[in-house]
Amino acid sequence: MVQYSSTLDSTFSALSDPTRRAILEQLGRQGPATISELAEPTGMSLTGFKKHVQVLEDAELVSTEKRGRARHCRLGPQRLEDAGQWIEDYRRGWEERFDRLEEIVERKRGASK
Amino acid sequence: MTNDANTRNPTTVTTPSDTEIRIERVFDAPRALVWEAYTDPELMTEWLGPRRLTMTVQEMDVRTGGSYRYTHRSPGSEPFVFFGEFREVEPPRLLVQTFQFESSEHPPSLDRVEFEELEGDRTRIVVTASFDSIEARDAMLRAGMERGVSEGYEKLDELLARRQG
Repeated sequence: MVQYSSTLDSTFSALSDPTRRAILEQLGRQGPATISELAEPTGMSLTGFKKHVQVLEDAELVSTEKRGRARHCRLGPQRLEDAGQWIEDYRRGWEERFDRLEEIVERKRGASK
Repeated sequence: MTNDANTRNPTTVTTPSDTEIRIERVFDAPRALVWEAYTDPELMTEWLGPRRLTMTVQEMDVRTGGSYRYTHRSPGSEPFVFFGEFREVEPPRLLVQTFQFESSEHPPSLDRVEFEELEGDRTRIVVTASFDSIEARDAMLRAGMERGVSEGYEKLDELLARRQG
C-alpha cells in the first residue's frame, strides 16, 4: 500500500477555491511573484487576498518570503501529484465501468431492433 | 454505431466541494435503455464489479425505500460487501441512494444519479456523491485508485477485441 502525504486533506481543502487555484496557476506559469502582483488583476482587497495565500502556505502549496516591504510567493514543497493521481485513478475506474455499461446498452439496443 | 478507444465518450471526475465527487459520462443511447442497463440486477454484475472480482447481487429493490446489497469476491481475500437504501427512484431520470462499504469506518455517502436526456437520442449520467466529511470523500478516492491502477485499460482492450472478432 502506498503511503500518502498526511497533508492531503489540507491540499484538497486549499484547492477548493477558484482564487487559490488561480494563484497556483499563475505561480506555475510565470514563476515567483509578490502578493501585490498576484492580487492586482483579481481586484480583491490585499487583506482578503493575503488570507488565500495563507491557506496555500499552510498547505505547503506556496512558500513566501519577506524581502524589504514586499512578500514574495513561489510554489511550495507540497506538490499536487498525490491529489491528482488519486482523482485520475478514481476516474479511470469509473471510465472502465461506464465503458462496460455502454457495451451492455449497445447490445440491448441491437437486440431490440 | 461504432465506437473505438478514440471516439469513446470521456468520463470526467470533479470535486465540486470539499465533500462531493461528481462523475459525468454521455452515452450514445436513449435514456430508457441506459436506465434499464444501469438498474437491472443481472446486468449490473457485468459493469459495476471490478475486474477480477466476482460480483453477486443479494438484493436490488429499485424503488423508493427499497434496499440493495452486493458482494465482490476474489480468491484468497475477504469479500467486499456494499449496501444501501434507495431514497428516491424516479425512472428513468433519477436515483438517489445511500452507499456504504461494510468495512468502512465512515458513514454512508449519498449518491445522486441523474439521467439527462440529450439531443440525438443520447443520455448523460451525472453521479454526485456527497460525503459526511473530507476524510470520507478522500477515503473513497483512495479506494478508487486501487481499481484504476490494477485494471487500467485491460477490460477496454478485451471489449474491443470482442467487437472485432
